[in-house]
Amino acid sequence: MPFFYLILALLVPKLAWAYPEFIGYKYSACLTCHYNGQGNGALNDYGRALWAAEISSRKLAGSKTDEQLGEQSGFLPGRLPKWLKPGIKARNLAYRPNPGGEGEWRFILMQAEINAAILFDQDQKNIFVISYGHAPIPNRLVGQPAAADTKEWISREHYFRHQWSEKMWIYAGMMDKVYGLRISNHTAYSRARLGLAQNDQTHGLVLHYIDPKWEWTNHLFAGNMFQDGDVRQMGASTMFEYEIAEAWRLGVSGLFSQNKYVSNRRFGVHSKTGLGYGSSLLFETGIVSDKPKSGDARMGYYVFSEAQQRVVRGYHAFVSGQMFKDDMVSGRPDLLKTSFGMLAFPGLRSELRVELENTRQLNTSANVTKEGWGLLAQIHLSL
Amino acid sequence: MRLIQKILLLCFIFSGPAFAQKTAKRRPANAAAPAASASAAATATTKPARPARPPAPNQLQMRIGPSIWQENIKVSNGTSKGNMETQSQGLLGSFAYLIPSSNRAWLQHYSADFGFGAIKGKGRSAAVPDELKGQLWLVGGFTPGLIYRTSPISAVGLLMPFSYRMIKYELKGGSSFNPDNDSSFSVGATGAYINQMSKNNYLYLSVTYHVLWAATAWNISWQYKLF
Repeated sequence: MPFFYLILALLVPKLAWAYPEFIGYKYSACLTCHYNGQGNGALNDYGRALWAAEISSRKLAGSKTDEQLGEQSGFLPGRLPKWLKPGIKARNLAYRPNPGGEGEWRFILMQAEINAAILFDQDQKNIFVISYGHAPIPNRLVGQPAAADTKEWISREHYFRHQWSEKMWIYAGMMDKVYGLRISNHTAYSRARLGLAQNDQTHGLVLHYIDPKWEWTNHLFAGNMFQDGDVRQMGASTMFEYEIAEAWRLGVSGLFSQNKYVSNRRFGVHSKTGLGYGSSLLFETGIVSDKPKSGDARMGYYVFSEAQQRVVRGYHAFVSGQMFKDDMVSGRPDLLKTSFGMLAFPGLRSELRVELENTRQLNTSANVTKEGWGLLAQIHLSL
Repeated sequence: MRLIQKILLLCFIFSGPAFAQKTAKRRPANAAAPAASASAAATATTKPARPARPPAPNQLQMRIGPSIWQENIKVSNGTSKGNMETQSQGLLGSFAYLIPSSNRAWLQHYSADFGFGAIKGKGRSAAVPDELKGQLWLVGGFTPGLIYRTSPISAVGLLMPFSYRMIKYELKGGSSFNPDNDSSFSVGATGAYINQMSKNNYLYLSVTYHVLWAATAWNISWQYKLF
């Protein structure tokens, strides 16, 4: 089975992760490369060409120039109508808890989907983006009755984008919630513990204003309409980013949402800094508040930080530190996650991320929870 | 055809001096004589050796920051023996002397290290269920290594810390509980990432595997260039 996943991963994909780390290449706005101005999702033509001509390694490129690589970066280049931008995408995760110990490898097909951007005009002022594919049943539901109600084939995003003016974009449909640094690691505390993981998209309306020095995005959402009405998180979020120096942006985010059972509030600040060429520092911290309709409210915090270093073209090393506490009262543990790894773009349309994670708990009692180790490897290739 | 070629050749031969004459007329009055300028041009073409870049000065830097690690310590209580999963948190500091190589890409690193913190833990077996909290530890050591500058403002390092640690156990009177490692030594391997934030301030991140303690320590420090 792992072999099947490997083959699948080798045969399908198309890059569509969000990398705020690319501020190290002086790309501070996600809209430069993605149809979605907040990053993530399908890449536009410029993004694909940039990936091929500047980011990925040239070791497998032979004698092709960067320009030739850029021209060949699309899906079936030159054979499709200009108004259609299809893609195929898959991510395969190999995970081994306690490497070197008793843990066993687990292979999880995180994502396998087809997507397309349909351009209604030459200037790309009106675009429709859609994706549809397989989503694995979350680990916590495997073997549970709820697993039967969980759909394994879903659309993670489908939205219409309209460019209202030179600086204003409007999105309507299903998308990721607007909040904080949209990093590629969905298991990071700043994503998974905030309701911003890979299956937490929502239907709504986004207004995105972009100035060269700053951008402001507002998201009004009605929840995931494929879910039952009582669990849909309805609310709004906002994010403001300001460029205080070249390749250094500070941002602030807020999110409020609620359903029949719980209301969520999140507030965060973040910084992304480019250092040298291809290297970056990311930092985000904030407050997480969950208030159930019955029971006690909780207020916790989270921290995400990452330093990425470009080693040679196409290869980056990174080290990351994260913290999370679900409730700031004594007795509740602080979760500490530290990791280091490699992010590589070894050739055209290929991507590899390997990370060794170490998790610990900090608490006030004498009890020490055994530290956890996990080795994560994700492969991502494109057509 | 040959005639045309000859005419073109003659035109070319005679056009050179004519062009030189025209440009000489345009030369400013204060310009050097043609002979002098030719000599200058000849000198320029010999490409005199660029003055050697002065060697980068040695540096003394200090750093300080929190560190955390976990390890198993052997414990006993009377005749019962067991293991205790412990967690150490503390503050580590260093004075690091850096010697750049001639091409400035590599730096030799020698640091004197010190630190203090608290260790806690609880016996994992029913035979020794005792627990510890807030026990002071002191650490000192020496770390040689190499640092490679990956860009003008960033570097990675591979270091080998030699550390000696004392744990000042303060147990309740009358207790026969006896944790090991009152004093211990370890040697390890450190991977470090250093980023220059401003002229004299650096961010230092490291992960160290201490072989003899079987522990992985994480450290984030502020580093300051003293000279």
